[in-house]
Amino acid sequence: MIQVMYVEDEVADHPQTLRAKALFPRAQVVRCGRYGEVFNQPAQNFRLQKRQPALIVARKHDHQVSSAPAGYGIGGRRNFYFSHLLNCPYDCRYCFLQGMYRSAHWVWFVNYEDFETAIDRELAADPGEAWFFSGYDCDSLALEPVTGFVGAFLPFFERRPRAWLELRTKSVQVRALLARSPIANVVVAMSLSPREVADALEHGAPSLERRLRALEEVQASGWQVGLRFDPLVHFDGWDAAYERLFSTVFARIDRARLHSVSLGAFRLPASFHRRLVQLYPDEPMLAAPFAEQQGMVSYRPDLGRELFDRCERRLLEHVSRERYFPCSGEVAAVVA
Amino acid sequence: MIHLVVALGCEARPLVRRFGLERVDLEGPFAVYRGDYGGDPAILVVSGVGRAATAAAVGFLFGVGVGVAGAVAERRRPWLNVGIAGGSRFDDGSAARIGDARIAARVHDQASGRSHYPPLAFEPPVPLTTVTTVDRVERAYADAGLYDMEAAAFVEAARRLVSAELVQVLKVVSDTPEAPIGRLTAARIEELVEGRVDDVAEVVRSLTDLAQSGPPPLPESWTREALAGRHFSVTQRRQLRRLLERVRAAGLEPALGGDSAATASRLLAALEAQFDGAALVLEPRDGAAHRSDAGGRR
Repeated sequence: MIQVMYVEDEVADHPQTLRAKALFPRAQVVRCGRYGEVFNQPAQNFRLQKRQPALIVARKHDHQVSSAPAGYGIGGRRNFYFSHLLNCPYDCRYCFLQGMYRSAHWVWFVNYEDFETAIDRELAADPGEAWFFSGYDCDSLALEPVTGFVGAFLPFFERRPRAWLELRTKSVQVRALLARSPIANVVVAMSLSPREVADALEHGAPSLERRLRALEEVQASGWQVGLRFDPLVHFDGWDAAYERLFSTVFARIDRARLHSVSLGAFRLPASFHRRLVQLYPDEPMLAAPFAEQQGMVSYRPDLGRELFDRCERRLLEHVSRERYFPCSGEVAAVVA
Repeated sequence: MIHLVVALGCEARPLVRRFGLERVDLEGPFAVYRGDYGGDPAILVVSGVGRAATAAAVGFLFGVGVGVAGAVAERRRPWLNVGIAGGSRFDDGSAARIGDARIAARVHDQASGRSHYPPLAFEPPVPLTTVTTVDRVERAYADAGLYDMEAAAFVEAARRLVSAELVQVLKVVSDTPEAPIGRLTAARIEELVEGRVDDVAEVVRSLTDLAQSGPPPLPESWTREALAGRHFSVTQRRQLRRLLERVRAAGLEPALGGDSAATASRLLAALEAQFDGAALVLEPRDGAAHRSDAGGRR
């Protein structure tokens, strides 16, 4: 799976690094000073690297926790995100990471203890609750067998009931969740798209059916679950496809025990969109009519509005407004 | 087409034989060989020793390629530096033995202190190591990895021309503390490279596959027809390229003819209008997605 593992000198002997080396004994290890020397090199091609990404094992020195962009959240007053990983094993054609990063390599920050300290710092700054989103620059669960992220962070959040954790994912790697009792302040949020979108654009991600099955299992074992329909994709037959999707999902997920549902328009900073188009000029999805407004690119307003409004209307036939959180147009769609 | 860059004639000879190359008389400053290898053209330059010679040879070879195939095609083609190098041990601590081959995972320029990490997007046929480029022959081999005199300049120059994944370095161990460089002869160097031509051929194949995995170029006939008889500004040319890419991605035939497309701006408007009132048809990942509308679909 992983052929090349870049390891920062500073974490060469970190227990997580040693674990990763044991997991991939055939991977060739290349030492580096800081991960940016590899990850941020000029002239890299994300599309070519996606064929065989390397793992970069690194230490996150600062900004372990950041404020979430305005408009991003599911009802909380204080919203933060943190990324133990940069990039994702899936290759979703609409993903903003392709426009944001030069490299498709997976950067794994192994100093979880510093992330936990940073989370505690934010909690100490305000007596209220705070939300921490872990699936902004990565999929929260997809590389769990490598990172052990969930296994490490669930006990941490369990001891901090004021801290809410959202695990956002398209992955079916839910064993770590099923193996233990649920935690009241953790939400497992599954990103879902119509089968047509999943099959055509979410390369390498589990099928809609497998995601739904995993989510059913997670919900049945008592975890709070969320549904994320983000980004909405415009294609021939979208109306019927989203109607089918919502009917299928809500026939299988227990609405009474549903934590939250969100809907998001396809949107990207203009510079990210430009890079996506450079990488994938042959991608049909990117051939759609887009428009730029205030530095963000999304579907031409007439198309985008119809898509969003119709989906929102259909969604609200299944779920109450209290649990519904539309995602603002100022935020790039999250990864998972 | 793969670009091969070697420093010495004796490093070139095994590759010239393996890839069926022939000397091209360009009356230029460098010896250049060309040929077809399994249907893929290959072009090789003998740069001479050292960083300046290598960088100049890369630029020269790029110019030759542009003259043959044009800049757009040339900027999709991979580059491989093949040559000898010395060292005592590899990055993993194992001893370097004469004739071992390694792909550079890290190319360190001793003069500038900069390191490059050629991203490897294929399965390497030989292990990886650091290659440190020095300006004077290295005899102490103080650090792990191999020492050469070209790789850093090669990588730095070639990366200005193509993406970093398409620029790789393969070195064959020619000297170690036990077999010092002073004893090397041209015949011995040729023999050492000859012993690794299969690995070179494997890397060439992988790089060629990788280069071809990018987006295909636009049909030349489209661009030719669009530009014929119309004046485009630089911005309009960019717009035209993107519109034609979108038309192709959507599975349409471009609306290039007719009175409504008599000028550049009218043609751009006509192409944009092809996207009105239609939605993309998504098909599973291995199929081509296309659009549903009344326009001519390919």
